[in-house]
Amino acid sequence: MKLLLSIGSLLSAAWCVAQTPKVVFSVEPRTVAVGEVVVLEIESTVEGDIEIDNLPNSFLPSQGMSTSMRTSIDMNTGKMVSYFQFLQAGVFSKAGKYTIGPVYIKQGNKTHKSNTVVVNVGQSSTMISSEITAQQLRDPAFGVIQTNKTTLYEGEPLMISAKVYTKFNPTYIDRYTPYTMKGVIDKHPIGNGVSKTSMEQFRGMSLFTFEYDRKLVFPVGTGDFKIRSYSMSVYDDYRPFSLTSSSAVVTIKPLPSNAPADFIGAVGIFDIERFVEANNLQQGDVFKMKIVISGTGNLQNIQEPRPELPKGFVIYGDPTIEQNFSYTSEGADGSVSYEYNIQVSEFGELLLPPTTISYFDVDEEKYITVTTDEHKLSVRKNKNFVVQTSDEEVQDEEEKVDELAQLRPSKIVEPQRSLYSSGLFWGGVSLPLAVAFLFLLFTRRREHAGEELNTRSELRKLDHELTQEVAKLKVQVTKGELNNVYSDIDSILRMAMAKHLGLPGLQSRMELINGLQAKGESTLAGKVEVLLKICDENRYGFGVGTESVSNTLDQLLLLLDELK
Amino acid sequence: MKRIGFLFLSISLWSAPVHAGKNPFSEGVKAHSEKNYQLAAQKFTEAISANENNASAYYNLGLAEMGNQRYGAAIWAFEKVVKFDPNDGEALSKLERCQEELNPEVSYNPVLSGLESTLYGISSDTWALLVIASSVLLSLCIILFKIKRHPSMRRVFLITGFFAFIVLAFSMWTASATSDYYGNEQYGIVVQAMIPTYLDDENLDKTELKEGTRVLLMDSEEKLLVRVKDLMGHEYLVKQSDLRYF
Repeated sequence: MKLLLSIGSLLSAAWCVAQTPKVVFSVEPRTVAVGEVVVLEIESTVEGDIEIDNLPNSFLPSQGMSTSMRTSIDMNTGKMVSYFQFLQAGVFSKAGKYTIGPVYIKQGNKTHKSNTVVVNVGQSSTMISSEITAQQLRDPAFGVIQTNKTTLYEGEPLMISAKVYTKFNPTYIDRYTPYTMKGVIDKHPIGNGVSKTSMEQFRGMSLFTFEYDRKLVFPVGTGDFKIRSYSMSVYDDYRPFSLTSSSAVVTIKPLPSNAPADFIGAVGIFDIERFVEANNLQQGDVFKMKIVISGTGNLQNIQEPRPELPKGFVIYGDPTIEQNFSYTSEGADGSVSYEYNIQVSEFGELLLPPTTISYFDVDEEKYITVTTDEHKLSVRKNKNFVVQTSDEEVQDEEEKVDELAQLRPSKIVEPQRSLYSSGLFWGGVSLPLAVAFLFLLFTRRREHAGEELNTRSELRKLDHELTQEVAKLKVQVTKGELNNVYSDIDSILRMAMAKHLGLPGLQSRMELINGLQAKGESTLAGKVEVLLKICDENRYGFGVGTESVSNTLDQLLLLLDELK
Repeated sequence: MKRIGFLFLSISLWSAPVHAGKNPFSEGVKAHSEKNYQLAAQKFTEAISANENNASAYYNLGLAEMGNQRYGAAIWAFEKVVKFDPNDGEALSKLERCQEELNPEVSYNPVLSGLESTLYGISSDTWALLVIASSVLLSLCIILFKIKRHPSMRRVFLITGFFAFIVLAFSMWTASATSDYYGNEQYGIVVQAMIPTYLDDENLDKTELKEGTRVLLMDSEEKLLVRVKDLMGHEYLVKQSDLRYF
């Protein structure tokens, strides 16, 4: 759409005749978000009908055009020059990159043309407001701090603005004390500072609202950062209302520690291009290599890339750095170029390897490496060119030669006999241990045999005693000496059982009977028990006859036979 | 002065009676002294083929490959030298230099730790002899412990026997580890500029392994593709023929 503005003549034509026609068109700011106010300014030394070419439909003028005029003396010519200034404020309703202009001023038959201006209109960011207290809501005007994010990475831009809500239509503001944040050393205003007043529903109330002091900041450091409140006076016509906003807190996270070696401190989204001006090169020539890093993020803070050049390429001096970016709500948007002067000291078909950089992508939350193409250079030989090497290079080269000269005389290392895991090894390890084991075994057996010998000897002794006792008992019975017969029978029976069990040490009756039962001779054990009972009855009961003694003796002899 | 020294060394190496005549080692030394590193590397390789236990041939091959700027191959040669003697400081410093040339950002990480180098520096035979000695001592302690009746003597033999058992176990483990280290080729080095890795027998992976990369072999059997692990612990499938082992 073309906006045609017709302006009537204000001053006499005589002043203008001697002046050199000059038309300058400018837009401030040139990077805005949708809804933010911009001002179009035309300054001219001629007066006439104004026509702004390529003004987009999305530009919505907010009020009428204001005009003014000033005069000054041209110091070169000494003539008085009049400048006509035309201002038009407005907002863009759609995001995009707009090239506005040129501006034509028609004066009679002549048309004077201005420059063009490129305006970047970004999407308006979704802002997050700080907390509001109940008291603030009761006030006729209150303010909050808005940020576009509450958690961000170190190096990532942060948008902050002061948003004011009023219950009246605000007409004027003053005594503004801005919000502050520790650790912010790099801040850039976005837009012209104030947005249009609009109506907004806020917690069920219809309030007037406007945004003020929108800034893009790049905090330094990590942790929780407090954005301290701002204060201002808002006027309802001539009645001022003072307000102090609430404060906000943002968390800044450190970048991951696994940064690649070619990380240039860039946080955002970036790309790299390389241009080499190397036509018709011959050995010793200097050519230009330009590395352009473009993108959006903390472009203003990136470090110079480190182009790795092969042998035969020498960079002369520092690069010429050209910055071409503007600040949008997403960060610094544009490009930074580094132009190097490089001398080539070798000839032939040479390869310039690609230059790489790494940046941190906050959306992907990882380091991204981007690379340029490689360049092939054809360099002609120059007979007159003498390759000059620096002292350091010579020293390095000498050190290398010296290092390579440290040859060793032939030395054959005898292969290890690998005693380990050989038969000899296992024999050597196991033999002493086997000897010790056999010794232990032998000692144990010897001890065991000694014990057995003792037992046998005792059993033989017991057997002898038993024979004597039985003979003695028979004599006693024959003689009729019956006083101790049953005690002797008891004793003989015990001795016979001990001998039978091969346990000369056992004397207790119960142990002996249990021993027999354990041996599987329960019947014999029963018979022994019966006989012992008869003995007990006769020993501790009333007197018994001789016949019963001889019966008992017979039973004993039978049992002794069985126990043998 | 350095050149004279180098010349003297070259002559003494070349004219050594043991290696006199046209043997590849002395030819390698001659080529190296003439800075014909390509030929020197070829000759030292021949010397190694003739006798795999010529540790100096590996060292000199490493130097020649450094001269050829084939740092991956040089790393392999110096790793072989370190395998002969884990405490060879010169070879270790050359390995650091090669690593610096290939990737200055990553410092060289030796295969063996300081303690392992010290232990493995003593041959497995020495450890094996120590195993046998401690076994004899342990056996003696057992026998004497059994024979002696005096409590204080028995205590002495008990403590000595326990000490002998600890020495036996430790030296047995070290002898086994040393024998395993010297007896097997457990690592591979990438000696080309870049080698491909594979997803399976047919498909290539996106990752490539750079020159000088040291990998641990995960498969012991002979096959076309072997599973390897790099220092970061990432596993890859690579062609067995793409690696040089040590």
